[in-house]
Amino acid sequence: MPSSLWLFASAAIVVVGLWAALLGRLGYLTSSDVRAWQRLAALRGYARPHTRLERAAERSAAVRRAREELDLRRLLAEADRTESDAAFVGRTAVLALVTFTVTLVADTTFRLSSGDFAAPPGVAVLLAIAAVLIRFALVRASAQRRRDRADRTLGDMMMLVAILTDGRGLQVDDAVRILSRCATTPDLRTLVEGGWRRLISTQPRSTAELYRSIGERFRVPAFTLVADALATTNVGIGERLTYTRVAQAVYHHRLADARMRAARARILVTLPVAGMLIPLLLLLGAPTFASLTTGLGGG
Amino acid sequence: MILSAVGWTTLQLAGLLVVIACAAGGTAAILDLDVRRLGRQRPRWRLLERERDVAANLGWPWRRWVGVRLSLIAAGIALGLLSRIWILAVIGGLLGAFGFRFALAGTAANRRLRMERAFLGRLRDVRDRMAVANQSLDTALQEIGRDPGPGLEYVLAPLARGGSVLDNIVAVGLRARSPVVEYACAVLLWTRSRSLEALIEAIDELLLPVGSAQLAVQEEAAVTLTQQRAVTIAMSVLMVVMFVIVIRVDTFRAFYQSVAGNVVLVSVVILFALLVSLLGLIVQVRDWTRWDLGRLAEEQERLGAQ
Repeated sequence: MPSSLWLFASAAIVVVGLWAALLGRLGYLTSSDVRAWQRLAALRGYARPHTRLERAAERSAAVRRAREELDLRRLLAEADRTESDAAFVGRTAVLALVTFTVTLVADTTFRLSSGDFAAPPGVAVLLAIAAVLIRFALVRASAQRRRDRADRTLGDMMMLVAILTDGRGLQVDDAVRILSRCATTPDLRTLVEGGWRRLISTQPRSTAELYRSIGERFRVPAFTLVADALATTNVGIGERLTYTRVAQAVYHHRLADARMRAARARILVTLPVAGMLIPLLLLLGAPTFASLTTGLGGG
Repeated sequence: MILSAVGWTTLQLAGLLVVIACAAGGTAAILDLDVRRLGRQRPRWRLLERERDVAANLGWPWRRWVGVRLSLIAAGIALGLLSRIWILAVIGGLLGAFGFRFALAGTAANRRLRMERAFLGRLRDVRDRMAVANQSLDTALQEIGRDPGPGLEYVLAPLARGGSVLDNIVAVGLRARSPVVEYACAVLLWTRSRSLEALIEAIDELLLPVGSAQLAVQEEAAVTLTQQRAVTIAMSVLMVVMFVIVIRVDTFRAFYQSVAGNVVLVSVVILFALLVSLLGLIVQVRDWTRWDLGRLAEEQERLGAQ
């Protein structure tokens, strides 16, 4: 078959496909009853039934995790970035465009001066994509860092909270707020001094509810732990005893975590140690190889 | 001269620079960049604080630490220059800057652990003085300061000098540069104004068990870190020895003096640095919360006054 016929057949398939899609979109392939119900549901704001694809995606843990990780609004709030998600996307697009343009201009300039590209022009596209990925990776790392620091600071202050609530009669939220100002990192302070409002729109009824919401929305487990402890103190168990137990639980958990990490590290550490032979071989092998090549070339 | 080599006139270069500046300005405006804010965000002080931590944990004065580091950087550069392989001047400088710190970081961590263990022992002593000998906290701290025991002379020295106990406790925390000691000092700051029984109870129920748990966590991490450092140092020494042997051969030396040899050396250094970073990531030790003891003392006084 000549190539022009292939082109014609492909174009025909595309046009027919577009026509069918348009008919479907306009509702000509749906029965009039269903269309009427759909219109009514849309007017009343009812949730429409999920498609098979949507149901499958909701059941998939990987898709759910990906959605959580790509939730920009949440990530930006967790990272304590002041920009909105739209601004973040806009900036990312501009940065990708700038990377693409600069690389392409540099490559073209090189071609004009030496007659050939320094790198294939496709590299500009790859670098632009890399810029987008790096920006997302950075914001994720920043969110993770803030979560970890806030979690650690809250866990570390439990003993002091026990003293402040028991001896000074302070409320837990006041004690946490005062102590968070005394930590050298601001992550917990910014979170408890109003930063939580970025993801929690309604005012919680109690400190326990607030801490539980922060623990859930900002993914800081220590807040959930303190919320549970708060619930315990509400039924009459002493605050000092409760928060001391929380402090001990935090350190026992860290000890278990450190032991698990140490055990895992003992196995994983063999990979980079074995990899260290590569620079050693390179150091010895490169001059030997160069000498052999020169010798053979000369001979 | 460079312009004539490229074939451009000064006017063309100026035009190009204006275009680049306008493009950079436009991009910065679109991205809403605030250069001063970006500069402020960089946690430079944190790196400096870490250096101070290592120096303090080694028991070195800050000036000596800086002096030794600078001397080693200079020695590394000088050795590189003497070898007549020019890239070694840069590598020697880097080795002087980071290699020495890396080699001593394990010793510093072990010394700090020993100090923290000794500190918890002295804290138990303070508790016994108050519980058994009926001493007040201030007297017990002062006596401990006069007889601090091995490894704690510098850290506990402020307690012996009398004056405000609050300030002395803050000074101990600042000198120790250790999260465990800082934490214990923070607890002492908040509990010292309460009754003696409550203080003894706090030390018994809170400080000693939690401090021991903190030490156990650090010891667990220290074991893996020590192994990792030992392997890395052994590999580094092996590489340096092999390299010295190799460059004694004229042909190999000539290779390392060429551009290709320099590229190989840079690749080797980058690869090795990446592998060491990977090791660091695998056996990463979690940091502890550091407290601003001065701020804690202020808050304590403010609440005490209310």
